[in-house]
Amino acid sequence: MGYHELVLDSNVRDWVFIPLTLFIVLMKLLMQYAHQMTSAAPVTTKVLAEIQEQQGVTRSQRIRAAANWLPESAFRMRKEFFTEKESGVFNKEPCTRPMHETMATDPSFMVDMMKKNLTGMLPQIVMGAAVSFFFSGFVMGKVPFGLSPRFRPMLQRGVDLSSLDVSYFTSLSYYFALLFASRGPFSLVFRENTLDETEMMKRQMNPMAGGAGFDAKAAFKTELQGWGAGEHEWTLLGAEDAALAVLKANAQRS
Amino acid sequence: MSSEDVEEARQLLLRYAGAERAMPTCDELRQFLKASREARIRNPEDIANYGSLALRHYKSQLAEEELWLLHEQVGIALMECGALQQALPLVKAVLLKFPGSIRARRLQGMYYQAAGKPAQAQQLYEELLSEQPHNDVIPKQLVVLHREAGALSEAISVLVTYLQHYSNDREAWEELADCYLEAGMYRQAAFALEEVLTMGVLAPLTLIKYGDTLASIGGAAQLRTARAYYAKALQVSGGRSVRALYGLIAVANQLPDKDAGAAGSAAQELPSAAAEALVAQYSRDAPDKLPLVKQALARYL
Repeated sequence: MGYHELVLDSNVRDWVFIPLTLFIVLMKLLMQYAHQMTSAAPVTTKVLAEIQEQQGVTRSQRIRAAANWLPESAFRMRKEFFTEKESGVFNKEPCTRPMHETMATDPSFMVDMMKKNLTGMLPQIVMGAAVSFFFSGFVMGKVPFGLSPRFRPMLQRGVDLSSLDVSYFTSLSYYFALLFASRGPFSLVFRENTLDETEMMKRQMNPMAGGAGFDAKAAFKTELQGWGAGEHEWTLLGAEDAALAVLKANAQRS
Repeated sequence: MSSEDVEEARQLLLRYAGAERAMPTCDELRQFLKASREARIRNPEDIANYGSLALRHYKSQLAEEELWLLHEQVGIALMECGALQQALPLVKAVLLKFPGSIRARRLQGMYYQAAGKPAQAQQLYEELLSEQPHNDVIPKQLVVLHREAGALSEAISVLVTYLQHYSNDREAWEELADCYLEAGMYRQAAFALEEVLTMGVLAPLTLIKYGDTLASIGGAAQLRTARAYYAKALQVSGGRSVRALYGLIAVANQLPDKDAGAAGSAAQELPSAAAEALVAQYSRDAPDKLPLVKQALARYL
């Protein structure tokens, strides 16, 4: 490879380099503000009832787990509270809808999802296409240090010249680099609200693994079965004997 | 972060106590305050002292988020120490910075409480609750308010409503049991204590409290159940829990002699063994009270 010094044409600098940089920064700013505006927490109306159900399930699990420490009357009282035919907690219709049902029926939920998608990956893809259309094939600059040939696909997107020194990078690579690198300075300006792309991408990968996936109906059914199974065996049945043994052992030792 | 971390940080700061004009570094102060926040250790004097130092001298070195967390933490500590004049500017600053925030207005409510204006505080809290009905911090402030004013029934009703939704809050159940005990409503207190019993750690103290409550309700069945809980507490504490020993004696006092129930002969022998254990402990730890104890337990010795 010849040691050619490539010099950037001032036209390229004026019409490609600077507009590209401005374009990226402005776009990111826009995405940032759009994200801030649309991610104001939606005020849910049925929150209290949902909390009650979720906590009720946790409470039921807790009581069943420690059931043998309670006296039998206390256990029976709670069992009836949860499982009674008509008015038991788990025989009533839960009001928390499972995730997929919410998706299908609740329109505001769909709108929220759409907004999240719109202010997320979509603009980036569109931008990427626009950049590669307008600004393709320009050599932007030179990285000041030498690099091995493995970096060629990373730094020279859009230009397939194998004789070009790897230190030169093209516009498309510059676009990607700037996109991810601007997260740093942006976090200085916007503190915690910075649109974290890596997080967004992770969230895109698992759309269903959110906390809203509390399936009340299934949980209720599990709890009902749990209450039905097993008898109450009071662990404190032989407590007096054990205590007596401890006292006698203490008396003997001292 | 745990209490050991807090203690460690505190020791670092104590080194500056005697030295004249020596000032702890910003990092040492921050470390202590952060550890106290995360371990939720209540140490109002130290936090107020060191926190005020940090806010006065190192304000510029604190990150924004930490600055306001410190405002809240130090403000609360100052209010707990009764230093209202110093707390007021902090509270005002927080309100100025976060005008609509529920957390900021809660701080304001706490200031009203500390300044002896419960009516204003109550009004503020109820306003906040109507704005955000599912808030889990404000009901607790209301409960504190009512208890301070001695309005037990209001405190109980707030707690009961709160616990209907957040039914796994151990602290809240304990507080409810306390309220019921103070009001003399033993059955309800027993219910609340049962909830606490199911929550993990089986501390002897909870077992004993539950036994106490059952014994207070009275009746042979409850007394026998109480006896079992005292026995368990005794076993868990290795035979050393004085409250459990006394509990066993108290139950035996009230139950007729031959009544052993399902517990069999152990229940018959337990009172005398407990009395002897009590005498042994008193002769070891408080010998001057021994004659009184022997007189009280004469029946079983």
